[in-house]
Amino acid sequence: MTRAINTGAVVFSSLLVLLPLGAVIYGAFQTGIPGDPTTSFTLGNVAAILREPTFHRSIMYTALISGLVTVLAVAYGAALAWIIARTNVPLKPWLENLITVNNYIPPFVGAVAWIALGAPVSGFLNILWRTITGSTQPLFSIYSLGGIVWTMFLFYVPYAFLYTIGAFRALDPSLEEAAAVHGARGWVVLRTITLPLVKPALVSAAVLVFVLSAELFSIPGLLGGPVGIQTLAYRILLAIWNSPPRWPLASAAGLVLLVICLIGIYFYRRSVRDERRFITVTGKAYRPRPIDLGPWRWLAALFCWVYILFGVILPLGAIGLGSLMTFFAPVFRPEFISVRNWVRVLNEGLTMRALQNTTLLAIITPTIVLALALLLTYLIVRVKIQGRGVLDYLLTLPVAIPGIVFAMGMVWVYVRTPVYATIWILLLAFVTKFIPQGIRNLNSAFLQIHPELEECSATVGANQWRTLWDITRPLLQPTILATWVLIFVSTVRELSASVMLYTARSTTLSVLIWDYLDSGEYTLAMVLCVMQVALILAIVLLARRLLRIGMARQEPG
Amino acid sequence: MGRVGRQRTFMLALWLLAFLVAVPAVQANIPQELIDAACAEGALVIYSGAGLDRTLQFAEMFSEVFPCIRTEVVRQASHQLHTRFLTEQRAGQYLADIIMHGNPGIFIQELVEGGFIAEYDHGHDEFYPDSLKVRNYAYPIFVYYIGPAYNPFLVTPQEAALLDSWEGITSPVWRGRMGLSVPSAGGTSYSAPYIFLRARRDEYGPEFMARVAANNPLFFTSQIPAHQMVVSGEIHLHPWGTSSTTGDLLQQGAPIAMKFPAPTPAVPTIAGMAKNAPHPNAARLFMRWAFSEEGQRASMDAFNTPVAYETLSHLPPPGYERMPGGWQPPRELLEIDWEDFDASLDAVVSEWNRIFGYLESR
Repeated sequence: MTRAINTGAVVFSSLLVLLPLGAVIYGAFQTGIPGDPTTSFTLGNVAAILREPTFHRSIMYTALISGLVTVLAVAYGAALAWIIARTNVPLKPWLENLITVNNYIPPFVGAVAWIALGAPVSGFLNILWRTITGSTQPLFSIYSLGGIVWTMFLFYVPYAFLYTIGAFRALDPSLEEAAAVHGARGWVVLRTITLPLVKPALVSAAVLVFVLSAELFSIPGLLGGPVGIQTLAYRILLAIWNSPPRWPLASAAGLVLLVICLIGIYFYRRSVRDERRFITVTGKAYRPRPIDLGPWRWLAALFCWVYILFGVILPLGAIGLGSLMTFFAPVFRPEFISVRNWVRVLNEGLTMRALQNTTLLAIITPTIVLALALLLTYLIVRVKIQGRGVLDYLLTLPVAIPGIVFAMGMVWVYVRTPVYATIWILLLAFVTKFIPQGIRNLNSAFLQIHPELEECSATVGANQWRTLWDITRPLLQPTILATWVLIFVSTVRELSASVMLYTARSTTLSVLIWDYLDSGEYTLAMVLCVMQVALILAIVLLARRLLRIGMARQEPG
Repeated sequence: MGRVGRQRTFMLALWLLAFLVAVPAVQANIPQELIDAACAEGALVIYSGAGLDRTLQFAEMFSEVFPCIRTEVVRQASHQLHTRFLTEQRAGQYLADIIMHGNPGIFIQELVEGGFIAEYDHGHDEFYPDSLKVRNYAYPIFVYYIGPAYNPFLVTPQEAALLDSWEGITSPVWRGRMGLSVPSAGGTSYSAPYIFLRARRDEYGPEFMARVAANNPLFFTSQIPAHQMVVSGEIHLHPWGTSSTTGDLLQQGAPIAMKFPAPTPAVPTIAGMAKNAPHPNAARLFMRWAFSEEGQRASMDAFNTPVAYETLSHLPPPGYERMPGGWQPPRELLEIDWEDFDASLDAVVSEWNRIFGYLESR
């Protein structure tokens, strides 16, 4: 029975990924879209990507921007995670909740908010700068390489934070205490003990942030497009958006991003090859104690609040103000302030439907993803099933293909099935898309746990399910919750698959926000964005309260 | 009650009277069997490439006249909508009753000539110009007029006067103050470059475009962000804006104005009934209503842009009374050969990209 379930899970998950991926690969070598009776085989799309200097430039921009964003976001996010998880920084619960709020804002809305803040002529911050200093030049321009990196950095810090905080919480402090006993202090302990032990989480965060930032089109497109900076993901979007749409070319470009992902996973697997080096959770009990930073805790607090100011307060402020304006511009006069956007949105039947669909999908998706990811990661890391390397690569691939291309693959696979045009195809798409996040996060958490605990359970007669539920799950609980929250947020915010697969009855908040923005109804989009952030915040706070997860963690053994 | 109050009451009474007359007038021209059959179906699904809120308003207006029919709108950008519709139709997933989008060339070539649009005589054919329709298949729901959109608070009257002619967009006064939607977006963004590099190449040509490029414009992927940047003051001029987007913003009280130098491209958003519509009677009823005079009036109110219906095409769309100088209709509309419009797109866009140094390759 166990063997059948294990096999079923592996086959189901593999098919979930392979079918649309196969459609994308097929589409990359066609002259037209699948289903077009005139389409034929061609190598022209791939040749165009490899030959054209403009595509080389786009690949270079992609590597440069994603590289910079990854280094900065992981460094800052991991530092925040360490501060929250391991030190006595004041107002910790507030910080932990606020740091992740930027994650609740759809990236394309965040980009619009930063245009309102940082556009060189009309951006609010630049207007303020010119008013205060009398300068005729802007302080900065959001339409620049720096502007793109800055906005994406703010966006991905919460990812790195959520990916690493579980690992920091799971650390046995006795290792650091032993180092201190031998005279090591502060930075030396951090560099030689703490960071190496959380290396799987750091590398996992880096791989995912790199891959996710490489496939993001909205921020680079909105901020780089006006000045001719075009990443590969943005080129893919243009191939689809422009006239006529070139889906085969978009599929071919998606394969290039896929290769980048495979390289990233390869380096991740190499770096965590000897898993015994990362074990910190064993059969011995321990109690975590926060590190006393002394007066440095105020600097640590400032480090956190600076991010919250730029990552949360400023963009949310721009969005909130935008929702109350009759048109979206830095013209602050009483006659342009109105609640009519809120009245219009709240009276629109589509809004309630979108809210219901979004809530349903956002609760079911992470639950299914975690159940699958827990079992699959266990099979890969602990049971060490045959072909686990291939399975590990396969289940991470969906994150590497640009969402909109992968979604088109799903359309081509499922368009003739009854599930098409229902809300369930969205669920299928989301589960497929977010399995990599579940697996990568749980994978790094598993590496920290010594197998002896599960071996003891097996020794006294517990089967795989009992061991998973009674031993493994409690040890992974901080990571499980953090991952559930991450996938919940990702589901609420998901756009690229939704916009291809939704119908009027299965519309989601993200699709509605996007449609309003794309139609020029910016202020209506801002209303929905505020509602979306409020929804996510409410559910996350409720989940944290119900599961009582914070600094207190479950005792092992 | 003061004079203004009495005037308002009088106008309200007139509107009420018109409504009471118009609704039965619309329904009087429609066979009762069709209305009954449509009501029995009870639903209508519209695939729209136009603005979401505007399409929802238009659909609500239809539902107010025929409350027994619940409308649903699926909205995407025109190209994606077109691909989605085609993919679904080829796979036998018949979900859309009405499809409408702003790319008349591919609509006609791929949907009408591909056999995906039903033939249906809605009874108002003679009120539409031949250049904007395919008889009994596809008709314009509304029309975008294309012209320079500018911020009247940041542009002097002398600079605005330059825009009475297309030559005005090449003036160096716009250097560093211009942004535009790239023509590879197709449709309305392509229409003006189509004039300059194809339809009236002898009059304008690459040298004209090079003078526009010398103004160092910012590039936007579509009309919407370009208009938003005019309103915010980030740019002062978008050389080929659309009447609908400008009308929407004028309704909101935004600082924007527009001119229509000759020749003015007129790009329709055209609509047709799907051949395998899941609610065929509701779709027929919608076609009869939407292309009647009453439906076209509703379209003007919903989409804030002119319509092609013969007796209404001269009327100013809502919102334009707020524009400095009021509504100034185009002096000359460019009649576009839609087959050539689409066929020449790759070549024109490639040339435009080279002239402007825009990085995208074709």
